[in-house]
Parts: sequence; C-alpha cells; structure tokens
Amino acid sequence: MKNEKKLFFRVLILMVILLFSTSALFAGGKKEGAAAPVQAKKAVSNARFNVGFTSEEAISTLIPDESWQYVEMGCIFWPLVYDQLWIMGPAPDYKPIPMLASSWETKDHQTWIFHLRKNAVFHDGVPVTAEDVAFTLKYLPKSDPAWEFPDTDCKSIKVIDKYTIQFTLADKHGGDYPPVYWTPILPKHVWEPYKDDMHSFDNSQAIGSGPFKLKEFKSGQYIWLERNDSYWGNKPNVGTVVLKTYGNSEAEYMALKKGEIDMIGYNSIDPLALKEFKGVKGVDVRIDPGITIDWLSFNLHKKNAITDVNVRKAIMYGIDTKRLISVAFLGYADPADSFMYKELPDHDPNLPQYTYNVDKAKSILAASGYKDTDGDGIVNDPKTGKDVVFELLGPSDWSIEVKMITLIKEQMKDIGIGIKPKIVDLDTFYDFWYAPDKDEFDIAIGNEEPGPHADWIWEFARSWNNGGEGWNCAYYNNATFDNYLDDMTVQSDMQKRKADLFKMQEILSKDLPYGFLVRYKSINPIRVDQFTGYTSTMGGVSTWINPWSYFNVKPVQ
Amino acid sequence: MKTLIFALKKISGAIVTIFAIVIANFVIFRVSPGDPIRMMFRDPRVSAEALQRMRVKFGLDKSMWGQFVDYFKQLMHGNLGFSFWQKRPVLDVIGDRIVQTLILVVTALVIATILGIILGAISGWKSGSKTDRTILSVSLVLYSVPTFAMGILLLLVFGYVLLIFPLGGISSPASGFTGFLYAKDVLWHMVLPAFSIVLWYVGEYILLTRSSMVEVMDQDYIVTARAKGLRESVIMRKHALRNALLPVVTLSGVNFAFAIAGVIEAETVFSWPGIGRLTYDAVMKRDYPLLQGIFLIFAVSVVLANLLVDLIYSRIDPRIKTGAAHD
Repeated sequence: MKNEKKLFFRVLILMVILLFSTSALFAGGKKEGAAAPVQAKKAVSNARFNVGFTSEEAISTLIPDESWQYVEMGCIFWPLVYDQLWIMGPAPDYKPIPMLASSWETKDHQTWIFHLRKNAVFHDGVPVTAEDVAFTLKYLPKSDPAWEFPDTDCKSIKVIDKYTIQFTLADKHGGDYPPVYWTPILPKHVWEPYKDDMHSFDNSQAIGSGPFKLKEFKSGQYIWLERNDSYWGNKPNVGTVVLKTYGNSEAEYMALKKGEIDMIGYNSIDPLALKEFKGVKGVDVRIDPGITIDWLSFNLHKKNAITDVNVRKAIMYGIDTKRLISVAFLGYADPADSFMYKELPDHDPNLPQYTYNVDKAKSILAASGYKDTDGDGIVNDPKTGKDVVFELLGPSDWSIEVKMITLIKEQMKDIGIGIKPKIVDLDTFYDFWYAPDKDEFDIAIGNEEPGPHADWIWEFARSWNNGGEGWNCAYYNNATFDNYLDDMTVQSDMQKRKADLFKMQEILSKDLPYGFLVRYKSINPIRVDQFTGYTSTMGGVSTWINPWSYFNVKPVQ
Repeated sequence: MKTLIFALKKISGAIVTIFAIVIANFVIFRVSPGDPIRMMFRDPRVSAEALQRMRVKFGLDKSMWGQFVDYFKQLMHGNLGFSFWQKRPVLDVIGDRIVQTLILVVTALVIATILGIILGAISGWKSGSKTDRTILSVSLVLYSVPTFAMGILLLLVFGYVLLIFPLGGISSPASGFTGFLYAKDVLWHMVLPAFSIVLWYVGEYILLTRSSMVEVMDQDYIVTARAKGLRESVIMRKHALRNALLPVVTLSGVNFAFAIAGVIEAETVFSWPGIGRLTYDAVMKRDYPLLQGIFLIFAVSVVLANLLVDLIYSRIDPRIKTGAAHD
C-alpha cells in the first residue's frame, strides 16, 4: 500500500519537475523570443516592429493572385515590398503621391506619360526602368482578373526612353487620380520566363523595389522583412518588420497585451474585446472611422416577392439600424446609406433615408397587397398566396454579421416577413453571393472596403446584362445607371463627375438592389510604449489603403 | 502457416479498406458546396473562358468517372496530384507539413501513454481508494475538456499570465536561429501544444489501464502471487500490469493514427504549421487534390496502424490468431 502511494507521489513530482524543468530549460528561449524586439528597439536603425495576423488572414504563398488583394496579410506585404507608380496618401486628403513615377501627364485622360525616378533599384540591384513598367502593364492584368481594371487596360504601351513610358488606355480615365492604381511594379528580368502563367512562379525571393525587402517567408508562420537601405525615397524608421501569424484572435490579443506584437495587422478588433485593452499599460486604443460598409444584397434573379421594390422598401424600413449598431457593434458603427462615405464630397447628402418605422413598413406591404391571409403572423404573397419568407445568407466567419442576421430575423417578424438564416463558410458565401443567378439566396449580407478612391465599387451595380456579371451580386439591371456609371468613369470634369455620382446614389437608393446598413468603426489597440508615429486613415492604422504606419513608425526614445 | 494466413487475411482486408477510402475521398469533396475553380480566383469578375481554361487544366471539365480514372491512374504512379490552391504537387505540400505534425504527435503520445499507464495502473490497483477517486475524477475531466478549450486555457495561463511559453508558432519569428538553438526554440514552442494533446490522451489511457487493472486483479494468478508472498509493487508491475496492457497496446497503435488526423484543433489554436492546419485550409479552399492526398494519408495510417496492432497482438496473445479468444 505504501509503495503505491510512494509511486503515485513520485509520478506527481516527476510531472511537476518535468513541467518546471522544461520552463527553466527554455527560460533563455523566452528572452530570445519576447525580449529581443525590445532590446533591438534601443537602436533606431535596428528596431523591430512586430505585427500580428490570425491564420485566416495569413498568406500561404507569395504568388501574386489571392495573396495580394484578397488576403489581409497580402494587402500589407505587397505594398511594403513592391513599389507602385503612385500611392494614395493618408487621411484626410488621400491625395495621390508619386512613388516610382516622379510625375505624370496627360492631355486627353486616355494617353498618359509617366516619368520614372532614375535612382530606383530592385532589391537585387537591377535598376527599375520603363521596361519593367511596360512588362507589368502588359502581363499582370492578363495573369488574373484581380488585376484587370479599366485604369490598367491599355490599348498600346510605348517605352519612350529608359525612364519614360507612355500608354493609351482603352477608355479615358476620369477623376482626379492618375491610372494604374495599387499595382506592384514587377521586375521584368525576374518574371519574364513566367509571363504567360504568372501563377506558376512561386516568387520565393519576392524581388521588388519597395522600402522593405524580404528576408524570410515561412508559410503559415511569419514574414520577416528588412528595411531596404538602397531605397530611393525616405527610408523606414525601423530596421525590421515581422508579420506574425497566430492561431486565433485571442492569442493575437494576448500577444499585443504582453508586448510580443506592437500592432494588429489588419482588421479592427471585435468591439467585445475592447474592454480587454482598457487600462493595459503601454497600450493605446485608437478608434477611427471605418472602411467597411455592410449592406443587404437583394437577389433580383429569384422568382419571388424579393423582386418587388415595395417589399425591399418595407424590409429597409423594418430594420432598426440603431439597434443593430448597439447590439452587434456595441455602438462602434455608424449608419450607412451608400457605397460613398458620408464625409467625402461625392456623397449625396439628400438620399432618401429608410429610418426605422414598423408602421410605415407594414403599410407599404399592405398597400402592395401583402396581407396575412392565413393568420400565422407572416404576410402572404398576393401572386402565389404563399408566406413571404426569405433566405438570408451570411458567412459563419463574420461573427458580427451573424449577430445582425439574428437581429434582422427578429425585426422582420414585426413587419410580417419570415427570415431563414443561411450561414455558410466564407468561401462558399462568396461563391453564392457573386452568383445570384444560382438562386442560392434571397437576401445576403455582404460587405466591402471601398476606400476613398473606389470607382470599382460601383461595378457592383452595373447591369448584369451589360457586363456587370461578376461583382453585381443582386442581378440588378438598369441601363440609366450604367450610363451615369460609364460617364463617371471617364469624366475628368469633377463637377460633372460628382453629378453622375449623385445620380447613381439616388438611383440605387430608389431601386434598392442593395440596402445599405452600417459602416464599421475601426478599433485598433497599439503599443505606444515601444513605438510612435502610427498613422490613421479610414479603416484604422493598418489596412489595404494604409501602409503608412509601417513607413512612419519609429521607436519611442 | 496459421500466422501467414492470418497476416494475409488482414493485409487483404486493409487493401480493400484503402480502396473504399480512395473512392469515398474522391466523392465526398466533390458533393460539398462551393466551386473550387471560382474559389481559386476569388475575383468574381473572372471570365467564363478563364474558368473553363482552369477546369481543363485541372481535369475538372471531365465527368466524375473520367476524373476518378485520372486520379486513380495518378495514384498508382505515386502521384497525389497538384494542389489547386498552392499550385504545387500535393506530395510537396504535405511533405512540408507532415514532419512538424509527427514531431508534435509522437512526443505527445509517448508522454501521454507512459503517464496514462502509470497513473491508470495505480488507480486500478488502488481501486476505490482516495487516490483512485482523485485520478479517476481528474482523468474524466481531462478527457471531457475539448482540446480547443484546453489550448486557450494553456495559452492564457502559461503564455500570457506566467509568460513561460510563447503564444503560438513553431519557432521564434525572425530569430535567425540555426542548429541547436533552433531545435531548442522549436522544443520551447512545442511544450504547450504537446501538453494540450497529452492532457487529452492521458485521460483516455488512465481510464483504459485502470479498467484493465481492475479486471485482472481478481484473476487467480494474482491471488497465487500474493499467496507466494511477493511484494505488492512486484505483483502490480510484473503480473497485473503486463496482462492489463494488452488493450492499451491496441489503443496506442490506433491512437497514433487518429492523433495525426485529430491534431487539427491543437495546431489551429497554437498556430502549429502541421498537417492539421493544412487540412483546415484545404477544406476552406476546396482543394480537392490536397484534401484527397491528406485524407488518403490519414486513412492509410489508421489502416496500417490497425494492421500492425493486429499482427503484434497475435504475437503477444496467440489466442487471437487461433480464434481461441472468442471461443
């Protein structure tokens, strides 16, 4: 009996010793992992800026397809490593700032001449020339539709000299930004062998000409960037940037609180997590206007009551946006009524507002013949006699939108409309959402991050039958809208362009292919005990329009 | 001769099982919602022509039967196909991750097995005592807590509050470690994920060993050993535990195979870049070839582990191959 007791305690002691000896053994490792950045930050030139991403936000390859535009870490990695011809500046002006191109000119907004800097070199030492720009413009848009935009659709490209390029676009490029927005300039000498199938090149060296260069990429783990000391422009204030992957946002938040990372890499934190950061020493929480707009897509391809604009109007009047904001966002969101942000001059301030009004929603339905004929609390379709019940599609990955779906379901009961939530994984959601003709949803809750310069976002409403298939996730058709859209795209008279945009917003507001709901606020906790110089734009300190924090942060002296 | 016939029967059964799994693997992913080619592009503006080009490139333009024949032919040549998502051969993609998973799983299972056997033996031997009740309660709790929840708890306590271990990953990013320093760094990162797996499996081993011990304690040979005046610890180790270990051997083999497949949660929580995390990503991307490859490896490892256990078991307990155990 005593022997067993002894054995039992021996095992227990062994377990405890094992655990603590492991801790002791690796005590040195802890210092290397967590304390090294702090030590390094003492010297400005070697300071290491650590940024966290979750596994879902991390890129798994350096191939320039999904890793650039559709994955959060890619949206940060590429602009840091690859220069663009010009870049959109930070808030509040969001002005175009010359990057590889020192200047540009055009007479007719269709033929453009870009003058390149003469001192820009790729990370392997080869100078950046007009040949590289011509190569990029010729082959990158062909490689993947993600690169195809009217402002890179060239009829002809001409290299005038080593540092001057001229290209003629298929159509005029309107507005006050130059063309070739958000396009990495690729080194021709690296990519030429893969020009006809750029997906086949793993790009493991990631040779760009940006302010940071790749030191090491470990798929699913981290990206280690070093400052490019040969950069033509202002060099970053930090020597190293590490984009690190965490298994989940809880681990990422803990990492920020304990100082393992200095900033969260892309998305705003969940409002529910905000209280975790309040009072944490060395952490400041910035709240900026959001970049994400949530809206309902009404599927006009369906053969049911959702195609009736009065039903859509009733739905919009029946949604209590204030409640959505207070419950799902804990107050950290604003109502939205357009793809255009309210603070921008192109936002139409006189759009019809669908302010929450249950009586009005009910009366619209009643006036259109939707009455509860069978007494089950749900109105019946006057054409078919069936209950008006809609499938509301949303992705399981978006926890806030899932909460909104639950709330909308409850609110729709009050006006006599049934809602069946349909929650699927994110990839399946996109597959269904962008293909309304598959009839996989009646209503979907979707979102986008248009940013301040977003002519592309209006393509969501280009007529399905007029080239809109792709982004149009409502199966919307309106030739008048298309005319305004076409004119806006090529219009260089800013007043006329603004008038086009006002008309487009008005049409969408009346036709309601989309019902705009909310605009996120961006909640970003940052370590201010280690770094200063974080740059805020709409969407926060690190988003697809904002690499500025990475360029500007510097260690606290 | 009997041994050979027994082994042949088991091997042919394993081959049939693997073939059935190959078919199931092929069908299951193709009937799930979502178009892998659309997901490959992500940009919804992709033209029908471009989609079709990719379908042809990856053989998805063919009928299900045609695709299966292609897949099967490739498989017979040891080719698991080409990943839609990573644009690399499936074998390369899996090869990059399997080592990390094996390191984690083998370490965790060895520790869990040893600890589970020792604690289970003590618990069974002292059945009904306070020690037994304590071990039983703890093991039931450990066995019931999901790995995901346990992982978060471990991260919170050891990674955040006590600051002893890192919050995830396989090595310190941007450390530049090589050789011994790198190995030490990996071990340091492995402690928490391995511990979370150990805690889950140890409960299972304790429960199984305990129940086996309780069963053998009433056997005549134990009474005889006591009558001979042998020390209790000797009886427990040399007489009771040896016989009680038979079901544990079975479990160890099967658990090893299942653990490779079941490590998804631990790898996800701790951001351990292994096969579990790869599986999750491949499911999300509808990467058929990669999923088929991963699940084939899972299935083959389970079948092989079972086969191995059957063969070893027949050596340990000759009644198995003669069928006497069932008589």
